Amino acid sequence: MVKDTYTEFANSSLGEKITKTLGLPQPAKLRRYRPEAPLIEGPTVVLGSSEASDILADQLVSWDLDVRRHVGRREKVAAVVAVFDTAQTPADLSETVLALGGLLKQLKSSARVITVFRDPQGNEDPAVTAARKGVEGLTRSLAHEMRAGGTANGLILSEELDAAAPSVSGALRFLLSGRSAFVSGQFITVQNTNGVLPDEWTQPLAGQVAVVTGAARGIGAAIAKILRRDGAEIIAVDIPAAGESLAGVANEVSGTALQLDITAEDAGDRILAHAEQHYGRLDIVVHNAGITRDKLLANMDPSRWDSVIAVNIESQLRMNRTFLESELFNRPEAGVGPRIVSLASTSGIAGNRGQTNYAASKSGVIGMVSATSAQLEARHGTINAVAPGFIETEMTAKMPFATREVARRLNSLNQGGLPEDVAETIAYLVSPAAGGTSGLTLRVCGQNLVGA
Amino acid sequence: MPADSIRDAVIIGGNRIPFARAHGAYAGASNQDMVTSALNGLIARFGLQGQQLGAVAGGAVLKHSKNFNLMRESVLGTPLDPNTPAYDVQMACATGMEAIGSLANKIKLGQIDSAIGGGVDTVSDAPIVVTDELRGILMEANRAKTMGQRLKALAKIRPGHLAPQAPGTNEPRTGLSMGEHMAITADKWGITRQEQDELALASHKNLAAAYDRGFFDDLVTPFKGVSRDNNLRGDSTIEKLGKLSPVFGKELENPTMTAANSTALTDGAATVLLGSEEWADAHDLPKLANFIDYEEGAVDFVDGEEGLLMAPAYAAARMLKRNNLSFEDFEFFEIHEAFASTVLAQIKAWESEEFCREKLGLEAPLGSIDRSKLNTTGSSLAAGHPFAATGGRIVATLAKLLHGKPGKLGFISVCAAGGQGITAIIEGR
Amino acid sequence: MAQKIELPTLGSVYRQAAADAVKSKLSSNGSLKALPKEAVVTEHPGISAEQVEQYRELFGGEAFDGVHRQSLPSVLVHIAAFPVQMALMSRKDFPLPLLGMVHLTNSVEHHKPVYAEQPLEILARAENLRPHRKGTQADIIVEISAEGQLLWSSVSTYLGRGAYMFSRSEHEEVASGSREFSAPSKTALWTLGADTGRKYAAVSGDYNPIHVSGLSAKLLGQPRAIVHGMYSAARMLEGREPESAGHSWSISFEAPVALPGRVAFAAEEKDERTLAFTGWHPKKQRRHFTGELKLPQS
Repeated sequence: MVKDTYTEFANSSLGEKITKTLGLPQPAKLRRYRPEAPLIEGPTVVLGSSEASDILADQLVSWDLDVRRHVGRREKVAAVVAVFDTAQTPADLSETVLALGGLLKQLKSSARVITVFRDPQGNEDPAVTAARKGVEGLTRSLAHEMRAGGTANGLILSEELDAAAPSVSGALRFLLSGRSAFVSGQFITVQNTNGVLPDEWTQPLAGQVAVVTGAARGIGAAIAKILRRDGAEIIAVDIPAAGESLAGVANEVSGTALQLDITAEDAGDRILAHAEQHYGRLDIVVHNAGITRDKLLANMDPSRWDSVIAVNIESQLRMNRTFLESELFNRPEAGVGPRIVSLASTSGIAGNRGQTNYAASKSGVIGMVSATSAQLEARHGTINAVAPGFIETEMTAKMPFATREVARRLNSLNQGGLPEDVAETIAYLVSPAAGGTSGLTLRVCGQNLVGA
Repeated sequence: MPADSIRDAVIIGGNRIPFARAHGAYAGASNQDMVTSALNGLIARFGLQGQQLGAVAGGAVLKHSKNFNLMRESVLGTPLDPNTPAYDVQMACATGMEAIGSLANKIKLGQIDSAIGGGVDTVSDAPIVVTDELRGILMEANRAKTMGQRLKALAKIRPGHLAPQAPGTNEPRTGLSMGEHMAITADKWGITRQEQDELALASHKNLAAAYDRGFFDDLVTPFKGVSRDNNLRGDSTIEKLGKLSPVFGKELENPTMTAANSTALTDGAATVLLGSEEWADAHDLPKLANFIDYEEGAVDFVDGEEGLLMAPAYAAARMLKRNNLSFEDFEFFEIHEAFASTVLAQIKAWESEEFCREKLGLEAPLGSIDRSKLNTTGSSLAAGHPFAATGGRIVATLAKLLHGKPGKLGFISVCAAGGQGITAIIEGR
Repeated sequence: MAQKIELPTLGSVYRQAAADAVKSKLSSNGSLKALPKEAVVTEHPGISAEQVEQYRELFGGEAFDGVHRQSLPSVLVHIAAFPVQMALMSRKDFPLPLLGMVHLTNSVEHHKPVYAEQPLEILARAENLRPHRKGTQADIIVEISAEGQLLWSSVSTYLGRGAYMFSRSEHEEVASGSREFSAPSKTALWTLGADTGRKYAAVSGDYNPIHVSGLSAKLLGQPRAIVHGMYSAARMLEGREPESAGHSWSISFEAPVALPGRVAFAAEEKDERTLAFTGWHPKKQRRHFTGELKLPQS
C-alpha cells in the first residue's frame, strides 16, 4: 500500500502552516476504532425534544457517555445527535437545525453529527415527506461542511419503529464510533426491531463463523482481520493461485484457508462443506472477491465482459441461492440470523468511464441485496452491500500518481480510506446489533464527490 | 500393550508447495523456507494455529549441515505451538514415506495423537562442500594454538583444494548415477522406449487434468508465484517425446531412457497431517483415509545382483502377504515414477512367474496392475520429484482419491537410493 | 636359503634403481641369465593402525576397529610386502632392470586374517624367468607369516620391457594377450581424479613417478600419469573380502588407466564362490584389467 505522505505532511505542524497558507486540502488524521479506547471522548449533545430523543439520550447514557442537552459556549463537543423524527413540515426543522449550527464551531476533531429522522418513503403526506427529505439534504450538505475529520450521517427510522429498537442503538453506536471514520454523508435505515445488542461490545461476533471471499489481500484481508478481532471464526477464501498469501491471512486470524474459484458451480457447496466440517455452522458471508477488466465499451471483448460479470455478480447470485437453501446458514440463534454483505462500488452507483462491465456487476450487487433482503428477514437475517470509494490498496497503488492524488482528495475528508474502514463497516453490518438493517448499500467513501 | 488397543492412524489431509524445476523459480529458497511454507499452508488449511502436535517429522536428502535440526527450526517458524517436538528423518527418496509411516505407527500405538510428516528437497540450494583435503587443513588450522601453527597449516592449501564439491546423486558404492543403474535394470527387463514414453505422457496428461478439475485446490498452496508444478507439460505428445535422445545407458545396444521418461531435478516440499480418530473429531477435521501399513525393503544392488530401484518389488510381496491382500484388492496404485522404467520394471517383476518364484519365493506371480488405476492424477514424471517431498505428495493425493470410498484400498510404492524402497497401504473412509 | 635384510624403505630402493639405471644404460644386465636363487626375508613390525586408517580413508568402507572389520584387506598386506619385493628386484644379481618394469598379473592366497600391529615375517623370492613378446618376465613370490604360520602368499608377475634375454623365436612364440573384448553390463563407474596416484602413493609409499603426476610420467615416456595397478585391485576387492580370510584372488592388468579418468567396472557372479571382475574404458572399450575372487568353501 502506498503511504499517503501528503496527509502525514499536512498533519505535521510545519505542514499544517504551509498547506493552510496555500489553501491546500487539510486532510485530518481520522479517529479510528480501537476496542480498548472509549467509544467517543467528550460531550455528546442530543438535540430535539421528541420522545425518541429522550430514548436515544438514555441509550447514550447507558454507554457511560457525557450526554448533554445543552452545552456551554466554550466547551468542546465530540458529537451531536439531532433528532427530527416528529417534524411534520420543513418549517419544524428550524429550531433544532439552528441549535446544531451553533454547535459546529465547538466540534472537536473527528466529531460526529448524526441526524435522526423518519423514513421519507414511509409517509404519503407531502409536508411530512418534504420535512424528512429536507433532513436528508441538510445532512448531506453538512457533511461537506464538516472539518477536521468530522462526519455527518443520517439515521433513518421506519415509520412506526420504536427508537429503542436494538438496531437503532447499533447504528447510533456505529456512527459515533471510529468504525465509521470514512463514512460521511450517508444514511442508515433501520426497518424493524430485529437485532440483538451484544453482551460485550468489543466481541460482537463471538462464537460466529464468517466466510470472506477474496481474503488473500487488500480489503478482503482487512475484513478477515477485523471480523476476527470482533470475535468471529474466519474461513478465508481466495482463488488457488493466491493461496500463499491466503494462508498467511488465515494463519494471522487463526482461521482456515479454503482455496476456491468462486465461479465454480459448486463453490457454495464447497464453502458449506468446509464450514460444516470445521465449525459446524456458518453465520456470516462476505462476498468481497471481485475483479476489474477495464475497457471502453466500444472496445469491450467477451472475455473482459463475461469474466467480470461471472466473478463479481453471477457467482454471488449462485452462492447465495446455495446458502439460502442450506440448513447450515439458516439457524437464527437467540434472535440473530445469517448475514450477507456484498462489496459494491461507487462505480456501481455513479458509473465510471471504462468500467461498463464493472459498474454493471456492482450495480447488479446493489440490486441483488435489495431484492434478497425479503428472503432473509423472516429468519432475522440481513443482506447489505458496502460501496467503497477511494481506498488505499495494492490496486489503487498501481494508479498513476497524479490520478491517485486527485482521486484520494476528491471527497469531504480530503483523503483516501483504508481497507480497515471498509472492513469496520462490514463488521457493523454483520453484527447482531444491525439485524434491523437490510437491503441497503452503504458507501464507505468519505463522501466522494463523484456520484454523491 | 495388547493388540486390540491399536487404533487407526487417520490421514486428515496434506499440503505441498508446487514443485519447481531446479535452478528456476525457487533458486533463492532454502529447504527451511520451502518446508515452512508447506507447513504454513497446512496449518492454514486445517486451522492448526497455536496447536501443540504430537510430533512433526520429515527431512531432506540434500541438506546443509546448518540444517541439522531442519524440521524443528521450520516448526519454530510456523504458527504451531512452539512446544511441538520435531525431528529429522532421512531415507533418501523414501524419506517422506518413512516419516509418515513411522508417525502413523506412533499414532496407532497411542504414543501421540497428531502429527505432521513430510519432506523437502532443493537441488538449487544444495550444500557445496570443500574437498576432504581442504577440510583437513582448515580443521588443523582451527585446532592450532598459535598464529604460527595456523599459518603453517593454511600454507598447505593448494589451488586444487579449492574446487567446490557439488553433492552427487551418484550411488557412493558404485559411482553410477541412478539413471545409469536404472538403464541396466530396464535393459534386463526388456522395457521399450515406447512403453516408457507412453507412461510419461500419461503422467503429464493425468496431472494436467487433475489440476484443471481443481483436484489440487486443497492439496497445493502456491509458493513464490508458482501455483502449479512447473515441470508439467500438459500439451506433450508421444511424437514430441519420441524425438528426444537417450541420456542414460547410452552404451547399451538399445538405449531407451530420455530426459522425458526420467524425472527432472526439482525443488519442493510436501506435508501430511495425521491424527487419531478422536483427535480428528475433537478438532472438527476431515478423515480422508487410514494409514494401514508400510514395509521397507532393500536389495543387494552393488554387484548388480538386483536393480538399484527394485526394492519395492520385494517389500510389496511381504506387505501383501502380511495383510493377506492381492493386487486385485486395490482401487488405486501410486507407484513413484523415479523413471518410467522404474514403474514398468516393478510391474513386470510382479507379473513374472520366474521373478516371483525365485526372488520372492511365491508359488504364483503377484499379478498385473490395471493401468487405469495407476497414478491417476499424475506422478513424479510430470510433477517432479524433490526427493524427500515425494512421499508426502503421494500419501496426500492417494488419501484424497480414496476419500468417500470407505474400505477401498490404495497401494504406494516409492523406490530410493541405496537400493531401498517403501511400499504402503492406505484405506479410504 | 634366505638372506636376512632390514625392512627396506621404498625411497632407498628407488634411489638405488635410478643410480643403477644411470650406471648401466643396458636394458638388461647382459651377463645375468638367471634369477637369484636366494630369497630375502625381513621382520616387519606390523602394519600400523595409522596406515590402516589411511587406507580406509582412501577406499572407504567400514572401520578396522575390531567391531566393523578386523582382518586387513589383501592389498594392504601387499603394500606391506612391496618394499621387500622391490629390495629383491633391486639386487645386483637380479637380471631385469627395475625402472620400466611392468606389473602384469598378481594373484594372492589369503590363508588367514592379518591384523593391524601384528608382527610379520615377509619373504620374497624370484622364480620362473621366461620370455614375453615384449621382453622377459619373472614371478616374485611373497610369503607372509606370523609365528611360523603362513598367512598370505602371492605371485606377482613382472615384465622387464625390452629385456630380450631369450632367442627371438622364444619371445615371439609367446601368445599375445589381446583378445576381442565385449563389455559386460557395468555395475559401477569409478571416477578417478588427477590426484589418485598421489593419494595411493601416500598410503602405499610407492611414489613411482609414473603414477604421481603427468609431468613426472612424461619423463618416463608416458603421456599422462597412470593409476597404480594395485589401486584397481584394492577397489575391485573393497568390501568383498571375507573377514575370516581363506580366499584367493587374482588380477591381470591390460591397458593402463590414465589419470584423471573413469573406469567402467563390472562384478559378475560366476558361481556361488566366484566373482569375476572387469574394468574397462567406458568410451573406448579398452580393457584395463580382469580379476577374480574365489571365496572359501563354507
